[in-house]
Amino acid sequence: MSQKSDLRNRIVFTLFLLILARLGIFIPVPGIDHDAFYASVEKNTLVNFLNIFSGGGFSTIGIFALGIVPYINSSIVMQLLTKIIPTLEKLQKEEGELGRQKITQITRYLALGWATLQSSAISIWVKPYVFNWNFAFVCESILALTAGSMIIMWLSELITEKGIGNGASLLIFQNIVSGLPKNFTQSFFDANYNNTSIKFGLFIVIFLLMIIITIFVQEGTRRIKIISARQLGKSSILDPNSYLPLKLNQGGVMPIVFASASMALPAYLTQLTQNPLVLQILYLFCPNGSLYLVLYSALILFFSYFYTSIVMNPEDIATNLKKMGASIPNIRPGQATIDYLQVILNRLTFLGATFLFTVALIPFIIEKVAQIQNLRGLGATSLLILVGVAIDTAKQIQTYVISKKYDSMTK
Amino acid sequence: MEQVLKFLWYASTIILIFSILIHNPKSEGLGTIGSQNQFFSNTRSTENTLNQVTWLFLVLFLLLTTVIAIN
Repeated sequence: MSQKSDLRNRIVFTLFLLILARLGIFIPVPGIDHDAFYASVEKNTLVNFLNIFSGGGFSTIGIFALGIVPYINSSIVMQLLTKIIPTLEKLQKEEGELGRQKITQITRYLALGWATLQSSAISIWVKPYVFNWNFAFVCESILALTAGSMIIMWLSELITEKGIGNGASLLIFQNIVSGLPKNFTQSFFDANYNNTSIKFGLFIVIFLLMIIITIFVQEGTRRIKIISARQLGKSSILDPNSYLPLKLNQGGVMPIVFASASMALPAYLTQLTQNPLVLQILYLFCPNGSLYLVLYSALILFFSYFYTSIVMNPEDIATNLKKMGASIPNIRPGQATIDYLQVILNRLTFLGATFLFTVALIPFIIEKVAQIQNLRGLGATSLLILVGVAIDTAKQIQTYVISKKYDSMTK
Repeated sequence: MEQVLKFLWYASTIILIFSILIHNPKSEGLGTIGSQNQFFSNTRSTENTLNQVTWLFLVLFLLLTTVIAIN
């Protein structure tokens, strides 16, 4: 059937691009002594943390070392700016498709700028390991790393257009997954590859538990009953099938991605400064610092609310309800509906963000209680992203297959 | 020989970055998780040419980087 081969082509295309993105990590930036560098950063926890997003690109300083991170960061900045600067807001809301395309273009240019910044930071950071540190080397490595990041950005756009799923999410997913085997062997097998089986069993149980909790949180919905005016005429019984679904976690996987990308910022900044006072402040926010969890929870909350306000606007919903002639029982349409929806959305988002943060907290608690180290690499962030992206992609494939079926029915 | 390679590398990198930036993406970026991209933009032929050019320079860039790194 043509629809099946079409879907298959898309999946193959996506896989091909993902493999290409993975290969590029191993193409080295010219001029660096990679062996010495690799040996020295293996024990560096900061680099391991940063490795999560670039899929190991950091410790090998391949061309794709920056990965999709500049694009994510510029998306965050653009979305924040769109809320603040009225011109951008107008572009996004009122000018429709063209306006959104302009915003996307600005995001891409911003990603270029960010990539240049980060690559210059890296080229300064690797100074001890370079054969020949001069201006030409700095230029070359900035160019190479920036080009690598742009390539990844373009690949992610290709995947979104011609493959399945959202390209950027899939790339992050792939990065995390490719780090998993290494993390497993590091955590549970010591130098002689003796298996410490009790720890391993416990870990598997906790892992599965976390996945289940995450799926429940991601999929949970609160249903708000709706009566349409037409139904009132026929019977006085509320039709239970008519409802407005509000998800527990509106943003899906995005708030977590953005929160953890922002958490990587202090880690980046520590590489740039040598000032001890600034370094001390920044270390508070790094993975081992005391304020890390506080900042992380604050960011998750903030991005959850932020995303909910973008995705679900109570005013729009109320207007649409009015147009459809439907209303929520016992609530007057208009301003009262808007207020009611807003209150429910706020509570839901708070609950959702708290769940997310609890899942993020579990590895830390386990570490204190059972002395199982290195759950961090599999920590909440990676797990949430894994589950979220997998669910989203699966749903997208389903939607795609269904829409293709409709197409073939009408032809 | 070295110089020629280096020069080619610089040129291909800059052209690659440039050609990627010219792309006009149809998706909304990271804001939406998945969307149905069934509609096409106005000029498909330019888009195809641009895609081919980008792929060409991509391969060129990767090859040249590998070659230079080996030396």
